[in-house]
Amino acid sequence: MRYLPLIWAGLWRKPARTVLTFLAAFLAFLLFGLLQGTNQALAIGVANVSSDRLWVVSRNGGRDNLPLAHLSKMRDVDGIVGIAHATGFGGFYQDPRNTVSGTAADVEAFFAVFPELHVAPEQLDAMRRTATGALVGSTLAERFGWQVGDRVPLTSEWTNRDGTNDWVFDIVGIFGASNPNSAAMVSAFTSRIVTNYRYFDEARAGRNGTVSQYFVRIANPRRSVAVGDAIDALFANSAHETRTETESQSVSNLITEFVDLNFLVTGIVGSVLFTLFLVTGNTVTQSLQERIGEFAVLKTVGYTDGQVFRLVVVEPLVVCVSAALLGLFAAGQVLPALGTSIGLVRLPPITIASGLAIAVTLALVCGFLPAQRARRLSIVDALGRR
Amino acid sequence: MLKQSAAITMLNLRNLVRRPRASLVVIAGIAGVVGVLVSMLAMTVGLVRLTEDGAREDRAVVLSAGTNTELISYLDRSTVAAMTEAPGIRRATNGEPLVSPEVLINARVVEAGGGAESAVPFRGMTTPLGFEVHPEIELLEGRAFRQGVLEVIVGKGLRDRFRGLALGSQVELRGSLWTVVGVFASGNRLHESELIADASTLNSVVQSNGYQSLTVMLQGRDSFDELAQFLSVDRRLPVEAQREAAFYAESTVQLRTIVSFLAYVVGGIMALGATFGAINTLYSTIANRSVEIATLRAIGFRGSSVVVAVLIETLVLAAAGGLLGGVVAWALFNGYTVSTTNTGRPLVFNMAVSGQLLLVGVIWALVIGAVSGLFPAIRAARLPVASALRAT
Repeated sequence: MRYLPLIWAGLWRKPARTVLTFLAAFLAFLLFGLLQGTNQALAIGVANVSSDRLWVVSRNGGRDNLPLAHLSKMRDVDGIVGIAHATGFGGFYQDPRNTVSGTAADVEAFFAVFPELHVAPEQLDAMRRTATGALVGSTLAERFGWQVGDRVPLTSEWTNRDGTNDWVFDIVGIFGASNPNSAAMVSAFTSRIVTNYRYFDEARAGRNGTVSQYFVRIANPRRSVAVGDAIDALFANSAHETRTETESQSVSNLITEFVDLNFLVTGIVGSVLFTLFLVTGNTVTQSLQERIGEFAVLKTVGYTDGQVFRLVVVEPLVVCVSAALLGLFAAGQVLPALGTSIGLVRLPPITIASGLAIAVTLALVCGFLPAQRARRLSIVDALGRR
Repeated sequence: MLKQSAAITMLNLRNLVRRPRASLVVIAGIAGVVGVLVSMLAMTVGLVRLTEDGAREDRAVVLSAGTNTELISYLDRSTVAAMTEAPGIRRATNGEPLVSPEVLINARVVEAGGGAESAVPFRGMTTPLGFEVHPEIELLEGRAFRQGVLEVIVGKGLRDRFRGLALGSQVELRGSLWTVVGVFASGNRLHESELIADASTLNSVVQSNGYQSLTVMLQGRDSFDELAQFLSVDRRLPVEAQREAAFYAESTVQLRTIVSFLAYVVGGIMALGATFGAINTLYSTIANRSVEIATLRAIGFRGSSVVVAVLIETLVLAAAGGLLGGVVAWALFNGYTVSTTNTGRPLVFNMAVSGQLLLVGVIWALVIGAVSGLFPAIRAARLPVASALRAT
């Protein structure tokens, strides 16, 4: 690459210009990585039908509850290895700003369906013996410094029969998640508190005998659709219809129900890239304008039309691609930190690939016309302009 | 200094037309930022309008303590009975307290066009009490539902969007076949996207009892404090009351916060990028005009007036960009219908690009313009006159 010194010199002719264009491109691709990355990760989640865990929620929309009675009917479905019900239990610890998320469940069944969560068998036993017992996720325990044996008062959105919203639990165990990176959704459970459903249901005023959702573990991941359909068929046309999907589909649904992310992301990304195109195009044209004479000299010295063309095109290519690499890398670092609660583990490879493809295309399109102009330069005219 | 600045500014502005490309880049870059920001914030404005319109000052909503959404709240019959004795509540002409206990669940409906499923709120009220507490509900077609029968009335906002909701048709909701006996409009647009039926019928269909909320007509605007005071003193009633406007505002606060946060973060990153792009463009513009600027300085114009002039020029471009972005956002999204699920409750609302939003957009544009114009302006003022005049 004997052209390298020439290209390098060309880039740093006006350092401010190159740096500013690079920064603008970096920000554009950072945004692209964050937005499109989230969008595509969710789409991948929705498309992932091979999974050994299904979520059963109410078909009537998000927070609608399902009857506990559904459980016995579901047991008859072929291919199910385990079923656990769970009911959301939110509140705060001492200060309303210390929000705590909880799950009231049939604890043994729950941990059987989530093998990624580890709890000591003695602690499960203790839960069975202690109605007001609670198992606390390791992240949550760390947050408040809770230990086994502590009594923790929680103020919840659920009112109990004595008319208050105050609940007290005895911590009998702490559970953790294995391999927190591979199943980000599961590790989100370690920031929750798990309590006994029976105690919770007897004590609460209202909605007794209902649960938020079921988690179902199946024997063969490839049969997820068939099993899901079978479960939904059990309750079709009843007052409490279900919708059963794989875990990743369900998590994606939580977001897409909220907002039409695809539309939003396309709009924003389109706008950003269009602006970048204008800025880069202007930069390259401007740069060529100043250096017409230089290219004339190069041609005089013997550079061919084609070589000059390539020299012009390579500059924006270098800037755009390096900015894209840095921007996508930064997005890849930020995204998991933001997205663990919704199962975003990393930037999808397809986003990286499409980002780079866009960078290359953008650079080529911006560079094409100026490069053509350089290629067609007549030496005499160009030199004469000086 | 002022006269000098004004003179240069007029010169620059007249010359803007001669350099369309650079100007367009600055305008387009800023228009993009403002367009995206305003479009996203239009969602929050739309939400606020949805919840504010139709909320009455003399009405309060009561939920069980600790919840702020009807979907978790639970009020049993004894609580409802006790509430009818609370102070501050208006009575109907026959002496009955205007306390409307209401059930709220979701029902699955199918879109008329595509066949996609959607969940809509299905409210249970008692007749005629419910209608007395909600006088803004007006039956456009048909009649109200009767007690103990599978009859439902449909909000105007739903009738055309979903299958089977026209007057007289039968529709399956929550596993039972209901007859649509009426279509209603409501001053409160939130309710216009609901199905309403008899509360006890609804409860028996879903094998539940109790209520999710009480809507209470107050004697007057100030009676609310009386009611709130009574509830906080009487510990037997595990409920909380909120003014209707506050209740609705609270129910959308989570969604609004998230959208605003996203809008400002994305807008902020884009603004930074637009700033870099604008500075870049302006640097090259200044470089192109170095002879012109040096000439001005040579004939006596002071450096500071050049700075002011360049800044003003940039601000004009920025303002143009801000207006363009705002107008495009308005043209594309004002009145655009969005449906979203907000903490389990489906919401349908129109985005609104208000005058205030357009102003916010222009302010952002001006800030970007000021920041990006500063560096090129200073560079223009510091141009070495003699060498600039010598350059080609």
